[in-house]
Amino acid sequence: MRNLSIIICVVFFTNAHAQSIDMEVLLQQTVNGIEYGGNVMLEHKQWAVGMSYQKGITKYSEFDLPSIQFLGLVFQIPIITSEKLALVFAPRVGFVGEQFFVVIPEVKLYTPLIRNVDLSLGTGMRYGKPSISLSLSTSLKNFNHAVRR
Amino acid sequence: MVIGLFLLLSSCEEELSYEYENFIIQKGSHSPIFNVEALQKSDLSFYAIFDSSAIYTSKTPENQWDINKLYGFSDCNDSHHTNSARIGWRWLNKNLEIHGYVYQDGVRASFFLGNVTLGEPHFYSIKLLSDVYSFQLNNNPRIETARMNGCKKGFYYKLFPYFGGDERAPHDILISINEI
Repeated sequence: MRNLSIIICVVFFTNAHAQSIDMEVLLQQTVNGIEYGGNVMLEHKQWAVGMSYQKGITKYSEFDLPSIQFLGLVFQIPIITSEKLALVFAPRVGFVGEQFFVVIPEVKLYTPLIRNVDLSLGTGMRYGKPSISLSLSTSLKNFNHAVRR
Repeated sequence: MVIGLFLLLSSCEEELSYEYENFIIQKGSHSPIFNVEALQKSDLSFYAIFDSSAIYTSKTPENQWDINKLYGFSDCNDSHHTNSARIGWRWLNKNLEIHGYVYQDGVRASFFLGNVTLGEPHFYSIKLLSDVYSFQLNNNPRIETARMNGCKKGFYYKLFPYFGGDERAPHDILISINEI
């Protein structure tokens, strides 16, 4: 997974002339509690690929099982974009606990919050159940971030 | 605004967690739904409730010994008929028997874990350890059986309730599961 991630990022960066590097912090409410994490993505023509990390804030409460973490790739595929809104499909693939391969489908709606910072609300499936997410994102390269997806 | 949304997310947690999911195996079916879901931790623990619909009589008497499946998972990148671990159940001699049910390199094996009562939650657990599957029913001592799959990193899919065996469900069967 790590090698594949590096290859994809290098190819994307060197050949596709990525327009921007996007950073995103996120919270996701799952059936197993709230998880936090972040994405670093290279974006080109409204498409993006990058790395994603996510970890549980809460343990499996009453049973005190350890929280688990996700590390993998995130993709961003535009569905509908307009001046002030962007709807994207943002699936993630990777490993939970460095052992369990998972696919995390999610749809996100981005809107500008303040200059160069977007807010997004997302909904998807996690642990086989519906989840919702909230994220803030910004661009490190281009400062025209407000829903430029 | 952001803080408000975070609080909204937090408030949903209690509602989303620890709820029973009902699986109804319809009369004439083997399984209630087609569902693909990945296992994401090495401990599949859950509570399950059977009601009186778990009482059945097989058309062919010897099929009464067949073990139905409750919940479990396939092992790393393998089909569940190659390597898997599940909790099984059957209605036999007026008891609801619970069994461990595994495939080890394509060879099926099962072992008795205990009896459970109808209408009450009981605790079930399968731990995925490096060389063994470890089964537990309620507070009974764990029972371990060999895990043959050497693969550690990959896709493990969950296996949901399934009636049979050879026969299909003789009537609707309700099973409630609360994974923890």
